[in-house]
Amino acid sequence: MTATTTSPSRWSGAVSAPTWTTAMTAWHVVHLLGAVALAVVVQQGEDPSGAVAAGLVATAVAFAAGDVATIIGLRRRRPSGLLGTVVISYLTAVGSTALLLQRTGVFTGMDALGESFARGVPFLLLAVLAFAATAWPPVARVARWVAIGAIGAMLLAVGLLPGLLTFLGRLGGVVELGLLVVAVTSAFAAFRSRRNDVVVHLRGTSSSSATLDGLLFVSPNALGFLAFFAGPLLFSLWVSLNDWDAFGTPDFVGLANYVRIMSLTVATAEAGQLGNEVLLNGYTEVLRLGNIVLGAQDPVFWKSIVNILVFAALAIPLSVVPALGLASLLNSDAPGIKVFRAIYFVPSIAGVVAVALIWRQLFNATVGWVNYLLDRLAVAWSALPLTPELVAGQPQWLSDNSLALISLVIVFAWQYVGFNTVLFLAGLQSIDPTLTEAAMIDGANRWQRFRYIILPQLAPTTFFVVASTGILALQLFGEAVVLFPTYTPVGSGPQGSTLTPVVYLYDQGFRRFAQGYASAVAWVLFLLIFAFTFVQFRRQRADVEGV
Amino acid sequence: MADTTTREVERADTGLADSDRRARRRELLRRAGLYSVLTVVGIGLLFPFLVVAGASLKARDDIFRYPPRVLPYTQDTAELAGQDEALPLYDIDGEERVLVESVGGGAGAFALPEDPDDVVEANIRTATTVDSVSPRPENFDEVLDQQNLGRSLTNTILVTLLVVGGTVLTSLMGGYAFARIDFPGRDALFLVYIGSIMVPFVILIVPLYQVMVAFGWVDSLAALVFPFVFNAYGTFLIRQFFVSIPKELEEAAVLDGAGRWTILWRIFVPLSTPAIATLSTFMFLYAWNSFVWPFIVINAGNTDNHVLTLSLQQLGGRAADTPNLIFAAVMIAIAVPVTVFVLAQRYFVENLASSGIK
Repeated sequence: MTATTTSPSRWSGAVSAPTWTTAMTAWHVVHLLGAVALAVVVQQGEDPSGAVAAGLVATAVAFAAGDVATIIGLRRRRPSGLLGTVVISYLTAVGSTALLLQRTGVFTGMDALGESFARGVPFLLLAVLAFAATAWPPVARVARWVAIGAIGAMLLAVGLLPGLLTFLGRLGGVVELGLLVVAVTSAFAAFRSRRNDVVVHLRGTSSSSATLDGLLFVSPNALGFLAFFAGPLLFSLWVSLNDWDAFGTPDFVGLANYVRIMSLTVATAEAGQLGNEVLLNGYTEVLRLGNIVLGAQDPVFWKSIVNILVFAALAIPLSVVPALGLASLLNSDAPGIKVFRAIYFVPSIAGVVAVALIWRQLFNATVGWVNYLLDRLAVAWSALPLTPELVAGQPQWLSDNSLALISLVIVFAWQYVGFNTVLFLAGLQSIDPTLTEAAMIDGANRWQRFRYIILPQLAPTTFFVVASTGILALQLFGEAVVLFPTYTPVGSGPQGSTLTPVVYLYDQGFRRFAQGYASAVAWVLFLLIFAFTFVQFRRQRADVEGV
Repeated sequence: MADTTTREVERADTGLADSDRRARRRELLRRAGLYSVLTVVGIGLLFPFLVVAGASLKARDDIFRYPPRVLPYTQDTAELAGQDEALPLYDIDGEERVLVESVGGGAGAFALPEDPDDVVEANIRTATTVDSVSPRPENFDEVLDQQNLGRSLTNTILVTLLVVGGTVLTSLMGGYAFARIDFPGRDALFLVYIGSIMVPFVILIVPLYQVMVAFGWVDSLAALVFPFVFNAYGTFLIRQFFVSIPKELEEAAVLDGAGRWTILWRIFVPLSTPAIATLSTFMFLYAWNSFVWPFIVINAGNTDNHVLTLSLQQLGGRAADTPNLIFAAVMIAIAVPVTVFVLAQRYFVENLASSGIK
């Protein structure tokens, strides 16, 4: 759209469209040669097996193929030539700019900004205030200039000028200059090829123009998505098939990591008999129910699975069921409800580390509030007539292995119950009130209305709440690390009672640097989370259809 | 049905005013019950914050005092007559006495301040102290200066601003493309985006760390910013909002020959304040509170690049003997997001809730 409707600019006059098309053909031939050269150089390089090298070769090959298609398109004056030239030039510009910034240390230079940024904060606040003031018409003009001035002052205060000088100084190298030239050339190529005359010459249509616009607008997001999500996701799958210490050469082992993780065996043992005596060689006892012994090749992983399942079974209901009750109470037209809603939300925005540090103090066995209030309750209870004497004792919340996981459950439920309440409340408020009114006229009592009207209507919300709480719960990590910092692995708690899968993953991947094994653990956990979400989804569907 | 009819008959019998009064009284009782339940829950959810607010102003010893108290107290002191040394003040059998010296076996000699010769002996540990409320705001200065928390705070603000700004920018562009521009593969790509929201972060920990190794970004702030400015959730949120904007609004601009960039910034963005505010608040809270990734990618020893969550965790693990400073740090870490939430909650709570359900 942009290209076909913008008025001709000075760029269109200088070079005619046919000449430009020929120039672009030459540009793609050069680009093609460059891509092939890059692929060859990387292949012949020192370390052709690394994932970076593989990615570079794949990119170069894709570029080369694109160049060939574009050259053909340009020669035959097809829209595909236009599409190819714009996309390839744009990607080349983005890539070489990123490479240039990387080589000149702009990204890592942000660390220096961390030091000087404090000087800019006052100006930033001024800019924000001035920007807010632009909403008030009498001062809008002045405020806008103040805001712009404050931003400028902030940039100067945090060291824009020395930063720019350093950057320019680093541009002197051959590689840097080359990258700069490539970036500028390809950016101009992409820009010029979208001018009206070139589009007409290459028989571009409004749909090819829309395609280019769409790709351009999606590109920042999609490229980042590729680099920091989709790429790493695939890479993770590959890593999980390797034995890799993160630094040396990965050793391809196929499914061995998964086999070791998943290997379970069952045997029977007499009372008093050790697990290792009855289990197969290489297996260690995980669980014992009566005289049945469950053994695994990696007992620590299975211990973490047992822990997280117990945790989830307690924490999810505790943070969902009370939330539903609270939301039903809040779903009223009484004044002040919004204040309560806001208050209930606060624990969920305080951040895991802060929350866990607070609770670590509350759980303190000798001077913590939890034990103090329990003691007060016990005293009050004992003072009542006709009640048996009750002593609260002094539960060691954080060092007793039967209580450590419970402490985590309490922290988790406290943190998310208000959040879930707000979600449920939104769901309740979206239910059509005529439904319950109709049921009321038909003589349904409060419970029947709740069970047969509200709950089924609420099923999508319930699914979302249970699924998101479950996803959080199954990835439990931060709370454990902060509440149990002195255990090895960090966060594993007394006798490993709070060792969760992510705690185990961290220990494997970043303390022992078994990154292949850690990736396999991550994928197994992912499957567990996916299965949980899927089951919830099926239940929701059944709920909706059952009515 | 039968129930309603009886009630209607009753109503006609007793007269309107009487039943109205009764209904109002019932409603009032219901309200009172409602508010008391809500208040009890609210206190339960807020009490830990009160405790930490008090603890952040306490002296070190006051935190380990039993029974625990919310407000910060310090023990009063008094001078013995004829001496200018301030001694701790205790309440022994209803008399205020100062502790003169320890006499062994946990016992101490307590004297009347005005009469140094009137001495009684009592157990020091179980003796009641004479306290008064006295906040200790120096905790905040100390933790900001000595524990390098000032630098973490600056880093956190910097990282958070960049993540919020970057996410909003990429999400506006991406959301606009998904909502309004028809290009091949758009719907498939959008499905992939939605699917990616379901992928838990754990799966990315190891490979994303390797990407950081390849880029040389390990242990640098760049690792905390750039991977998080491309956000599928944000794109989704903005796209959903843009789709609901009527097409008529942009048609005039299209006829005037405005490009897509102009349409996005002049028409869509001004109309989308609620969605942008929601996304900004969400990303703000996410970036400010994020812990797992900084914990992995920033070296524990390199305190210059710590963010608040990491400093807090380090402080909590290392300096367990200075809990008052830890709580001052916790207060700093909580105060900012809570303020942002209070300012933005009008948009945030409702939009977050409804976007989750749609």
